[in-house]
Amino acid sequence: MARHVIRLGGFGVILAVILVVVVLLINAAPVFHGATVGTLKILARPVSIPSWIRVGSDEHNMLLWGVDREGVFHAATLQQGEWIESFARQGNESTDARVTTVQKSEDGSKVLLGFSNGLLRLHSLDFQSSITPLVELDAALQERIRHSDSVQEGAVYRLRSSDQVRVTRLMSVPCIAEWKLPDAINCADFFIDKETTNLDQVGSPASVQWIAAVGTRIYSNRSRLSRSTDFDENTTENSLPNLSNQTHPSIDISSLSNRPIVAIRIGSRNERATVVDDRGELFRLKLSGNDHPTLVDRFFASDRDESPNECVDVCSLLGRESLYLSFADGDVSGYFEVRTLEGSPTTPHLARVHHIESETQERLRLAASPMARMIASIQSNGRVAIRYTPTEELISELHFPIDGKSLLDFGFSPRGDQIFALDQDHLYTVSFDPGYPEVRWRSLLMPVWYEGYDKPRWIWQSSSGVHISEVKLSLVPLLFGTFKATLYAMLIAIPLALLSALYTSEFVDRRIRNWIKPAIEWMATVPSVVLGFVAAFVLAPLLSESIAPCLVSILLIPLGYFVASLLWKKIPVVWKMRFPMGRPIFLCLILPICVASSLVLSPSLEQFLFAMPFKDWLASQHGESVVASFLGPYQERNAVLVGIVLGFAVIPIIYTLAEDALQSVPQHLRAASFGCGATEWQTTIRVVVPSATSGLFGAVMMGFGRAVGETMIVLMAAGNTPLMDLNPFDGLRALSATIATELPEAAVGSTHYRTLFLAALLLFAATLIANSMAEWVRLKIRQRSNEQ
Amino acid sequence: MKIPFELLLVLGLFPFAPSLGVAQVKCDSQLPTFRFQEKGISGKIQSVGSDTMNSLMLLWGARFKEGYPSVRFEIDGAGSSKAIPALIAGADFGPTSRPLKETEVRDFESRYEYAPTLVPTCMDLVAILVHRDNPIEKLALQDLDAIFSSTRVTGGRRSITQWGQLGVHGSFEAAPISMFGRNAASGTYGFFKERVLGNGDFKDTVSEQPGATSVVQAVGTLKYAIGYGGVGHRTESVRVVPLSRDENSLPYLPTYEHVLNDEYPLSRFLYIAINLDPKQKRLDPLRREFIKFILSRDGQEIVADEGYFPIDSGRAMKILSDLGIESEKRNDKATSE
Repeated sequence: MARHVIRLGGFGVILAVILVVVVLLINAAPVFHGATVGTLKILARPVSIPSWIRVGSDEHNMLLWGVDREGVFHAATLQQGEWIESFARQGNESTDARVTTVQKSEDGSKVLLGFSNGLLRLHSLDFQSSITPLVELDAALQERIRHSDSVQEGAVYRLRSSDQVRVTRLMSVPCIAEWKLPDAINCADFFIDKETTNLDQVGSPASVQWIAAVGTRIYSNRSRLSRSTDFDENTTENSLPNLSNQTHPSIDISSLSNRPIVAIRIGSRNERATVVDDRGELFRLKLSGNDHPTLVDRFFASDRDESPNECVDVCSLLGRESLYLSFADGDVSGYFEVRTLEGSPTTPHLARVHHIESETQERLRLAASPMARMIASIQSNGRVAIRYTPTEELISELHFPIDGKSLLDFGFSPRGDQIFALDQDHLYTVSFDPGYPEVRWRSLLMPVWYEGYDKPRWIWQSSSGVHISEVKLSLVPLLFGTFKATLYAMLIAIPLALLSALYTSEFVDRRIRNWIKPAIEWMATVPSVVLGFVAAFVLAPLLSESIAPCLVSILLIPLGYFVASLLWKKIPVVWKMRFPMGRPIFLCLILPICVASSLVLSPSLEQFLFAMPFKDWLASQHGESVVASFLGPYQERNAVLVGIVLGFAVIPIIYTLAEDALQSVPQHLRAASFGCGATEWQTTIRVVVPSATSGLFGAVMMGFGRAVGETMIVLMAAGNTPLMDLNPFDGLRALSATIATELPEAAVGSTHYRTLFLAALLLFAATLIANSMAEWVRLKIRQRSNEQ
Repeated sequence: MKIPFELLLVLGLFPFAPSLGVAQVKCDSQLPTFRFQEKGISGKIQSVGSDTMNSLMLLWGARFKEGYPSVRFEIDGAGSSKAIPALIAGADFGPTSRPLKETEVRDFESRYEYAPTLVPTCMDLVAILVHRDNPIEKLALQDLDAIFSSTRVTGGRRSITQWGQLGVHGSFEAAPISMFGRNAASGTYGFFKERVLGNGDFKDTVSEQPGATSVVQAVGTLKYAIGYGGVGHRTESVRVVPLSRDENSLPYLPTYEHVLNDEYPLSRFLYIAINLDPKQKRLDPLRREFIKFILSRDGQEIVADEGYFPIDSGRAMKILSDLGIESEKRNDKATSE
């Protein structure tokens, strides 16, 4: 009976462990699924409407809008390409003006049109979307909706669930602002942002920053937008200002380049704009509100000096920090502003950071995803490659049956879940799910060159802030932190635990041993959160004040005991006989003496060695020398502190197991050794330790496993700085602490969430391996002692 | 997992006990008083969200229950990120210590076709703390960016690593700055990252502390340290540095007056997100009463007791009217005072 219960319990434990692994795997695995691409859909343009030059969709991919050369907007269903309605051009401008440039906002809700007569118009796409119960619709419509998307009275109906229908309609496309420039507009860009005041930012009016090129002159301005709700079709025309005598700040770059301008892009924070000419020369302008833009610097995008590489297409990535250019020979390169990290006061400068080797010699068109840092390029044969830019990795490939020469538009839907390609008569769409492009072994483990940094680095910045910020989830600093903490803990714990195990097992009286062993094991009962608390609030300031005496005492205490043991020999045997307790008392006295003397000695030692306090000397250690790379300013929460407290936590484990291993060495081996005339010390070192080696190793591995997985101590004492140096006086950030602090705040199912589960899996694997090794070694020992 | 409300109340209050001694801010006497309706209401209020606001929610809940004993509360302070998922799943309130993320609004919209409504409940601010012996007079936001950020989106060209670079002389001049901040899960971290670093990255040498008290303790014991955290947790050992928006504007201390006038650059609202259809603008009586209570004088006194800043009457009235809640006129007691 008892056997069955025990067996059941054993299986239960194994089952529980397996379940834990399964849960971790289920949560972490989707990360590696990769991208999924849907089936291609081809929509033919309705004959009745003119061909479009730019398309887009609403965020639920129900409606498609397109704008033609006249500047007229048209709406159609996205599923069947069924034309719904067209929106007549507003305003009383002459109708012979043609649209020369179209620019969409990041969220796809605003469109800027540039005309051949110098008119620049900002349109808002007013989609209205609602959800209605299916039963409230009339029966014929219900039937149609069950089969496919249906149109009724200008609205698109789509079945959302078994009983609900989403209804979306493009209400109007009002012009919400317009400006007049002297001549035809080559290209333009704009950005709308909410004015962020401090507290009451809700409902504040937005402002628009726009920039446009007319010939070689660049115009730019910033103006307030009234709330878009204030505009409806009736008031729009009246509220637009008189355009005839507008002037706008401008800069003429004809003295720098008289080549045609390919594109202009506004950078993040609306402070910079980049103008690209067709030779691939970049001119960076400083935008300052309503003042004239000024030239900051110029930069040749291609590194080929002899024959300038013709620039084909330009697009800016999510967040508008990076700019991607494609060239006539098929090269695609990414550029962003690099700020040097420490020290040198160089100005931030544009650098060519990513370079995707051309696989073809073709002129590629580019499009950037609005959801992640991904870029899609399309060849003339219609092949599309989608890459995750920080690692330049190919995420997915697909194919549009299109002739590249007639390609008019190419891009993502507002939520990045559809890819469009448009030619004269057809629209090609494909649904696309990138999966988790940010998480690949390469980005988790290799250094990645992120925006703004001066070189590829391992970075863990798991901000759960805005979605436009780059995802930086390198596990390397966390793994490094875990192993740094473990290293210092083991440096402290192994010698102390093993030596005390040796002492109690081999040298000390059985009565004292029976007293010491439970005492050390009792150390293990202190909850680690208490240890962490003590470390952070008591030990950290103490260690910070007395780091020099502590270091001195590491040398002085062993030295003191060595001297003391020599002294003990000099004491006449008669005295020793008279005080049988003399030896332990004598030994106990040595410790305070050593500590006191290190306190006294350390200031003069500091003066002698460094000519300044030790901490100041540490702070002055920055530079290229080998010593300096291991040292730096003293941080209060540091690896030594973690080592001490984590060491304290693992000492009982190592000690108990090591002591057991030593005790399991058969007594007859010792007896034989003593019989041959060996001393206690010789017996211990030459006989007992070698035969207990595997057990001692197992003890150390158990301690290692505990140190790797320990959470609260590293969380509270380590400072949580994701650094990558071995400096003992600097902090660290462990995997376990990161999981503990960040998992509660990570949105379920997000990249961050899944990466944390992956980290948990790694942590589990590390402790499992360490503990299994320890257990395996222990079983070996038991087998051997049974054989004997 | 449902934990008894009373137990949560005790647990929730425990860590805040030390902060209760901090000088209190006086409530705006013009705030409406809250009258419990005689016929009473009943029902269940489920709130999931911010950890920072957990103690506030518990205290509000407890006071509210005094007047309406048949109202049951389920309050869970799992973190601001949990607020919107819970709201989508049907919770009544989602307290959040930061404005909503775009993705959260989208998730909500894809279920309800309208955005969740954020109700500001009180004000909080982030103070910049240094050791009490530190002579620094003021800091601009750009200086903070240069101290804390590795990418320096807003902070100019040079990284600031020594106190001397900020114009401090004497023994501080050559001393390296050690930085302390909150852990990435906290709303304070996200707020600082957005407002000060312009969504840039923190230096990897910024020590992340699990709580605001931990930051104060570290800064108080380390002479050359700087840290950010809620002002309610400060002690004698640290000094609060006046902050200016940029180099040319005036620096302000984080006092209630400067926060109300929006002069101190690092102040924020603490919100409660609710699911309110903008077309109907009608809240059920239970939620309406609770929001009225929070924005009343009684509710805001709890805010002041907890070390946060109560909302002024003008803002409170506006919030209530935006929600379509008829607020009772100023109470008679307040006018007679």
